[in-house]
Amino acid sequence: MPNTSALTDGLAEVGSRIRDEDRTTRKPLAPFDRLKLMLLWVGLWAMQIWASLVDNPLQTLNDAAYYVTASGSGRFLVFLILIEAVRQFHFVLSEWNAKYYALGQGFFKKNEGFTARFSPWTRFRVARVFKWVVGVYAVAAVVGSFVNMDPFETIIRGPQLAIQALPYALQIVFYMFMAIIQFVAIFYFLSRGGIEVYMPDDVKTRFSDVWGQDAVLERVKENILFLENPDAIESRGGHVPGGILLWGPPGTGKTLMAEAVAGETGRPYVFVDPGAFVNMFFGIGVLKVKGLFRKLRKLSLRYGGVIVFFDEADTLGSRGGQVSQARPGMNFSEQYSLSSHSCNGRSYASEMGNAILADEDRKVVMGGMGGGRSFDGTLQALLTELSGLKKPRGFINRVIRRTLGMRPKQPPKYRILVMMATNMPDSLDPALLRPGRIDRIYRVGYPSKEGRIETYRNYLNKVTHNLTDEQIESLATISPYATGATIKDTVNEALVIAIREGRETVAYADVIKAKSLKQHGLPDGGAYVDRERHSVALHEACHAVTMYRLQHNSVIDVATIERRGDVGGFVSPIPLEDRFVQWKSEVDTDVVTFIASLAGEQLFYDGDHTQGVGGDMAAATSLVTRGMLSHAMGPTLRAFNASTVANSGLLIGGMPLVQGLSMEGEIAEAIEERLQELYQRAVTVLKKNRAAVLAVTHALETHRTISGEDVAAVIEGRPGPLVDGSIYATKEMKKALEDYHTAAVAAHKVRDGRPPALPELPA
Amino acid sequence: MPKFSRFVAAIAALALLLTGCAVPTEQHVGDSKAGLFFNLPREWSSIDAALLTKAQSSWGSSDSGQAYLDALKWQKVYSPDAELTVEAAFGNSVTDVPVVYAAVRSLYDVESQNIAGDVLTALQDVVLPVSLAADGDGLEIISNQTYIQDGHQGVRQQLAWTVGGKRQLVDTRIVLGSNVVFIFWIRCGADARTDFETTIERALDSLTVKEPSVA
Repeated sequence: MPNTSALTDGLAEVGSRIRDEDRTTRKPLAPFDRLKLMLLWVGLWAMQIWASLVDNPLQTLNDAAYYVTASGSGRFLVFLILIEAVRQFHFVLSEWNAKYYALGQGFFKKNEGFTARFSPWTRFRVARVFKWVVGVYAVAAVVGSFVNMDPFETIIRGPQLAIQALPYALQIVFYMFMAIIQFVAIFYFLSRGGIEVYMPDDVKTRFSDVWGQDAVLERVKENILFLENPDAIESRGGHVPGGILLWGPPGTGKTLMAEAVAGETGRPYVFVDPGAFVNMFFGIGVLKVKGLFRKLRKLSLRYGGVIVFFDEADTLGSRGGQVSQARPGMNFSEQYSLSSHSCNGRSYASEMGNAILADEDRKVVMGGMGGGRSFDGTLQALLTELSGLKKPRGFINRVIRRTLGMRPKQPPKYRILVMMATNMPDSLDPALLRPGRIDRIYRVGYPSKEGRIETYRNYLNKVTHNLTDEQIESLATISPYATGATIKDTVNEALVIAIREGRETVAYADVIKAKSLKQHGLPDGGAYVDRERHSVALHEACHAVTMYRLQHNSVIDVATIERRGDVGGFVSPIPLEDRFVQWKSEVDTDVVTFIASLAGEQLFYDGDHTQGVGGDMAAATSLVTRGMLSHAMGPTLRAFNASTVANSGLLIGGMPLVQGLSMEGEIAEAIEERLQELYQRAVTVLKKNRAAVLAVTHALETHRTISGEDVAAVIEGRPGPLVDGSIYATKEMKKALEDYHTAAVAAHKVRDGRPPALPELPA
Repeated sequence: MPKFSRFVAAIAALALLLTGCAVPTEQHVGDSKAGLFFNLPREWSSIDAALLTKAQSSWGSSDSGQAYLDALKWQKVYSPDAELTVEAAFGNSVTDVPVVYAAVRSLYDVESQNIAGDVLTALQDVVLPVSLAADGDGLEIISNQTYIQDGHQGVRQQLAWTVGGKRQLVDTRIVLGSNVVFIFWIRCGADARTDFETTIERALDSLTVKEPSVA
């Protein structure tokens, strides 16, 4: 225990500073504080003497001092000097003599008691009168010096002088006006544009044109109904919802929905261009926002309501920060989705726990939020306007009425429905989304299957086609993430294909081709050498057969061996239904499907395999790793979130790296063990389906690209939409394919080996 | 209390400085813009400028009076007699007290032309028509000579005449400036001249011409 007194020995005792009311004498002033005013007055007096000396060379210093002191300003300065001297003398006495100090305190307290009898407002008014008197006298003194009058005479003749000076004053005002008008004009013209007003019937789009978004559409309609008939909600004590945010992936119909609102409503519709608030100069955005809302208020009063639509609202930007009324860690989809999921890994955590988990998530999200940041006040101006519609407005209303002693009139109810659309909701400022500004937030997701059927049917009905209802339903099934925009584009592409082939009618095959083209892009057109063609086809056939046999929640969309860039071929699956969670067994099936290429190549090529399996195995490893580390799908119960996995060095950018401590440890061993186990499963599947693999290989080599339905037909040995799979069911064909494969493998093993010709399909 | 003592000493020094400004015995008349300065006894007073201007406008023919005022840049009239009128100051009658007139005016065109020649010829008639004086007309030229005043050429004169049996004396200083002429004279009766001899001499000696520098 250290001795505190010993520690402070030799140091001055640190005491508390004495309070003013406890002092018996005045606190001594610092020397400069004591002298500064005196120095100022004496300095001014000396400057006057100096000027006088310079002005008249006959004067002595003594004479100049005398005459300056005798002049009005000099006398005033000497008066100030004396006052300051007396004041400082009083201070020094107060610092030196306690009795004098007490006397002074008593006097000033008494004086304070006198002034305290008046209300602060009265004292303020008296002070204001005093200030005005002094100010008017000062101005009169200055003006009087120019017109050779004393201040009092200047005040008396003030009106006359003012009238005399009026032309000059007007001239100055004119010059100022001209200078200001230049800026005003520039800013006026810069603040135009980007805002278009549509009157009822200008827009032809109707709600019936929006397909596959029924749930959201109903809610939007509800808002329009309230806007059209505000009494329906206001008479019940509510208020018309003032803001709707439509968010979701691109092409899902957000803008179309807004257009439909414009077409359906009997109110003016104001479209705000996404680039309207991106400006060259600081402050233009603010002017635009103010101008926009001035226009909206006017339209609202004139037509009883108005709708304003901000397309791509993320351009409004954010002020940054994470101040949200939402729980920390909740992402936009969790918070605002119509179908929010109860099990998001957070529901059972405390607030603190949520905060920690959210912090970890942010590390992964990094800067990928996108969207701009608003620093020029545009967003702030928008926020203010959105929540500031209830204040009295107008110069006459606020200033003139108040000057005349009347209260400003409260503003009328401006019924302004603000609609915003974005596919980057995280870029929006949280303050923009608070109730009162944006009351309703709707996710416009991918259309439902029924919506897609309706959308396909409606777009197909615009062209001549021969698709059956079943085929349209099939199209909808294999287009789970198709939006209105993509369906429209696909049908149009199908029409182009039909026209190119000299047909007037769009067929199912055209739509499939168009879909494949839109989804996967154009193939490069280069041909494989025969040996390579067979190995690539076999590789994809292994995927296709495994996928067909094991995966029950998805179907094959297309299988192809046409090259696209670095991709030699692929088999594309389509989920049969929108799923939220994936089971461990399904993850295992996915991994087996990936591994099937390696297993197949080694099985069919006597243990050899190509580099083409690298990507598949990386994906398989990634899935297994993620499953083990993040979803407790391994031998342990441990699970980490994505950021921890990424920071471990095991996964970077979703791809596994053979580095870091984890790959050499227990987890790495478990991953390898699991991959080996799933490899064996793939081998088993492929062995059982050897004939099917060779059949699909042949179909791919023959047609290069076949649809999922045709893959199924080939495997099952039945006719498909485009490929007749029944020919592969015959023993002769099976033998021919075996022989062909054996020869191809043999050719692979020798220099310049040439595989035999592809078995021909029976006529 | 050393602090208190220092403060008292400072106040005392200030008081001494202020009280040290003894009342001057002379007033320093002049104008830095006009460039003419002189000293007079402090008690002497000036004639109201407005009254002086008004009287001058009607001097001689109205044109000549107005022409003089147009050329005039600055002028002052002083006298020990606070009640002295303009007429008394500039009239023909003999004054019992000295009258001091100082003015700065632009050169007339005629004067500007004559400046090129002899300065005496050009300036000697500025106050009184000295060159036209002839024997028997009463104007006695006691002295009339050129001199240098603060670097400027000038003429100084002492003239006299008798009115009603009383002798009148006038001392003039006419100095040539840049396009301007500085005029300074003191007139009074002979008796007054004797009485105010010292004062008049001091005033004449104090005359200073310092033209303002042209920016």
